[in-house]
Amino acid sequence: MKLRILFLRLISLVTYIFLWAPVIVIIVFSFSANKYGIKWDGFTWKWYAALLENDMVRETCLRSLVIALITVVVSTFLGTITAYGLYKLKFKGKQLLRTSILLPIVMPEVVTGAALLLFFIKLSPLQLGYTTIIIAHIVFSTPLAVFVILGRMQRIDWSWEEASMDLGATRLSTFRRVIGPLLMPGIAGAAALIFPWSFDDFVITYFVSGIGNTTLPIYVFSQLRHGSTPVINVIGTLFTVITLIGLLATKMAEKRSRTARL
Amino acid sequence: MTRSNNQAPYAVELINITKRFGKITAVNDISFAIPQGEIFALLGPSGCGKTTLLRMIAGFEKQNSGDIRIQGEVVNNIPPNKRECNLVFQQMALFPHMSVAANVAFGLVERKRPRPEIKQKVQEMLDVVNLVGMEERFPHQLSGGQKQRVALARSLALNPKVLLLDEPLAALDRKLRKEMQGELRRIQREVGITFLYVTHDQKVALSLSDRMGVMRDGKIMQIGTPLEIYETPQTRFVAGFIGSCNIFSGRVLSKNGNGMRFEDQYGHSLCVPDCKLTDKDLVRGISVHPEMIEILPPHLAGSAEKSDNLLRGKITDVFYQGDFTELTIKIPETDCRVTVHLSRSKDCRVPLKQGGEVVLRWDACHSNILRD
Repeated sequence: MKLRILFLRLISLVTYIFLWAPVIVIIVFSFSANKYGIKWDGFTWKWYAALLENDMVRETCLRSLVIALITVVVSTFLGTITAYGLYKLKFKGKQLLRTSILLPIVMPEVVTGAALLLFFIKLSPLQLGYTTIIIAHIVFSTPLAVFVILGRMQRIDWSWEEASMDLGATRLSTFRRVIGPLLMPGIAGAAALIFPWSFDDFVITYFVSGIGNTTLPIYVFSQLRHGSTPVINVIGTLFTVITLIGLLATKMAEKRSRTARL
Repeated sequence: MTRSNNQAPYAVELINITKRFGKITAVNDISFAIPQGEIFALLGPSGCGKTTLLRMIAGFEKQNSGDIRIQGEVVNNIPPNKRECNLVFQQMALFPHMSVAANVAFGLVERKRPRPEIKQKVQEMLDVVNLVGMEERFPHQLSGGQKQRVALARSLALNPKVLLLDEPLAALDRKLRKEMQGELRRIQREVGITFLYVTHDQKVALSLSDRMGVMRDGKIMQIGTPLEIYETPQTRFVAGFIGSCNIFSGRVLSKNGNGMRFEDQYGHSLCVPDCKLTDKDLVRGISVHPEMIEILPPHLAGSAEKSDNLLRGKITDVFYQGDFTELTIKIPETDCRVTVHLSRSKDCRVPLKQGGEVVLRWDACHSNILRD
């Protein structure tokens, strides 16, 4: 019995080491003075200073942020109205359509990327660039939004909608005052999932970005091709810390709202 | 706060309303009218079309044919948000993200009333439903009865021409239901708004309403005061649904001075009060309430009066219910079974045990005539 518990603990420990080791290595080496960033040569802040002076990092990071923000806004908006239609309307082939929403999620990114590239080159007047990157991101993010928001809709009591209309609200007003606020946790959840997806997408972006247009993940990759640089470790460290803070903040907000509800 | 615009005598009029869902006719050519200020109960088993009827009046379903009038005005093509009637939902449907005050104010905000007026109206309504001091609570912090009161206040705040209630008490426990029934009556008297109350619970319908209609299979079977419906049901269905009556099929043999001679399907001769309005050929059966039947020991049967109905039988079941005892009595040589409710205060001179021989007695005037 005791042995079994010990064994379980060991397995958990190994799993966590496995998960956390790369992250810890990056964080540690971001402070190492070694110029290849793979050996401990004493503590330094100089890579952080170098990052501030690196225009490319700032520029690509900003671009990735803008792309992710636009993607989040557009795809949650599209996702919400699509989910509403799929949930509320009655039409032929609805079940098929609802299932096929999952298709872009399970499709290998290489396939989606290649298909989009062909589409943009052969069938659309668009030049490869930021517009095509944003369109591509919306294409793979919207199904996820639909999926998450549909899940939330299943938990809504639709007599709320009828009650609202009965009390004199129009359809639009009902959505704004009743259904929208009740869907908010789903919409926020979709946004929280889509933002990192879009921000660090590499494969699809690589296909449709064209020449000379870089997002942060592509820039990081191009830097690593010429051998590791400590600046990459700094970027990794910063994003780990930011993500952790965000995660803790949402957890705390969730806990607070739950205690307030009860 | 009684309503002043009483130009139309009826709050709601239904004229030849029919509603079909595919091949099923949910509501079949129904016509009736509800006078101003009345509590009207629509009673029927589940699936009889009563909720469909209510949803058509509210505007959530559209009838295939017929007219709906609210205070004289035809509303067939008016969407639910423009109809001046409000529906209290069975599940109450309070908005979970809004406080009690915001829930009650919802319709007034939608009508863009000025703030002070909304505030005043909300207070007034919470006062009517006895919820003053609960303004800032959220629905999940309220008990079932309190939620019910909020739902009522929310609908009444709009001063509807008729308030539609879809079994709003069904979700409450028995004691609370009784309390809320009294509250509903008080509130209705206070605001003077017409109530149309849909339910499958005959007790609620009988005790709450001024008048009631009994529905079956999309048709209205009978409309009347609770007393009329309970004491003089016209059909087997109403008799059975409302009071678990004993029903005897048969026909009238002869008419004489103080009543009619009725023979049931087993050949028992029974006495029925003379109903001047009915042709005797229209009588197809009689119903007798279980609480109107008396039990006598067999040797006392001879002392009965002429107008009495007597039947010999054997007790087959005894169910003790507390305030009364339910007996099932089989009439020998037939498969006819009679249910008798023996109230505790009634003196019974027969030992109540299985197999005991008894004589059933009831006064002729307690036989009610059925027409189907």
